[in-house]
Amino acid sequence: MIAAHDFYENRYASFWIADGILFFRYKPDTVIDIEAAKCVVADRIRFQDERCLPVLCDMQGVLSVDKAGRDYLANSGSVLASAVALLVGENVSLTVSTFYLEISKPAAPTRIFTEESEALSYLKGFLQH
Amino acid sequence: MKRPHNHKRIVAMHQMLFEMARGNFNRQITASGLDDELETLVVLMNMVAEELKEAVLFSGYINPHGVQAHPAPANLLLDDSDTVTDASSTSAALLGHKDSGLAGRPMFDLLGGKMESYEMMKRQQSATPSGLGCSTSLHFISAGGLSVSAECSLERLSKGEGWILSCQVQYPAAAGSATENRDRNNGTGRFPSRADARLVQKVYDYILAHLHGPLPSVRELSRQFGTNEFKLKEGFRLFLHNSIYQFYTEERLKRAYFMIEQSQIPLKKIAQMNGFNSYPNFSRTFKRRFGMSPKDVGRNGGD
Repeated sequence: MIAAHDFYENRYASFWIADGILFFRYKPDTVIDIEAAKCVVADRIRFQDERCLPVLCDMQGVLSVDKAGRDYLANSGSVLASAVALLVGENVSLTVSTFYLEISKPAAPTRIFTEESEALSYLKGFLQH
Repeated sequence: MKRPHNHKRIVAMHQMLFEMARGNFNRQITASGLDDELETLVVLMNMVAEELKEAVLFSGYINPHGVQAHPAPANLLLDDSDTVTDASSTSAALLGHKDSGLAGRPMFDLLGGKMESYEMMKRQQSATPSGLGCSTSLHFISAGGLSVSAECSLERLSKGEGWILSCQVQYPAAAGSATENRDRNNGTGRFPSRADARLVQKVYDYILAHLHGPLPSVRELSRQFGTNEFKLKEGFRLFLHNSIYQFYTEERLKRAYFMIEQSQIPLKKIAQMNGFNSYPNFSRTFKRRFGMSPKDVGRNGGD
């Protein structure tokens, strides 16, 4: 993992915090299996340093998420996430995200967006003042 | 692919796949009368839904989201002619049989006639003086006609007569097998319905999404989900083999363990974040469950 004060990057994603929101972007052509899910969750929790934050998760680089990965993200992946906005494209990432939302049932409040501005305005409702 | 009749079928397939993932196998796509590749998928999906509905999930289905799955050993004793002489309860349940239902069955039947991997494993084992062969994935055919895969290893019994086939399976304890649910209901005289499964799934998901706070009483939960206390308690026991409160506590403890392991958040705060009203109460319950104090869990969350 490349560590910086305000930016982290691992094999699967990069993430940073701005205006009280954690921005999380999967790298292009990412396949999320249980190993990837554990890695991104552990790194995110460490990066957040005890703070519970709303998360903007850009799924557009994701090719697929297997069952073990989906279940892990839906349960353990909700730790220290006050809400999650999934930013998706038109086809595959939309289908994968809709399936995740409706079938895996993430424990944190989660919604899907195609526009970043709308995702951010949803997350602003979860900012802790 | 963008012609209207294609689009209509693709939408129907999307909807059906979502319903199947929710455990509803009743939906069917109306045949279009076209003879093309897309229609082969439509026909195939309709047939798969019918098979799944009858074979495994006739009594309803709870999706545990991986929370409750755990590895379970399933063992078969075999004689030298590859016939089952005895089987553990797990292997019988896995293959949809009663406890004694596997005895006398040839492996040829259980593997649907595909003996290549099994025979190769047997040859490897015989050729290894130490008796330690490699594990191989075998694909069994259950009583309901489904394919059930398990990682298996084979070992000669010490007296040299017969074999033990040890299989590791991810056994979804929460959902229970169709056989198990059927047997359990003989006691109550009532088969669980799809509505029962849907209700338990909703409460299950609600609890997982609210582990950070106190659990409402069963009466309050029943009111919230439009049912009565008896139905809710019975449904939970039937599908999850656990009481609502035990499930809630178990999941909070697992979440707390994960947070201790993965972060540097103070233990008192972790107790609070997982709905425990005091640290001593959390610590006591944690120790009872994991056999160690929260302070003894190794922490990986530091830089």
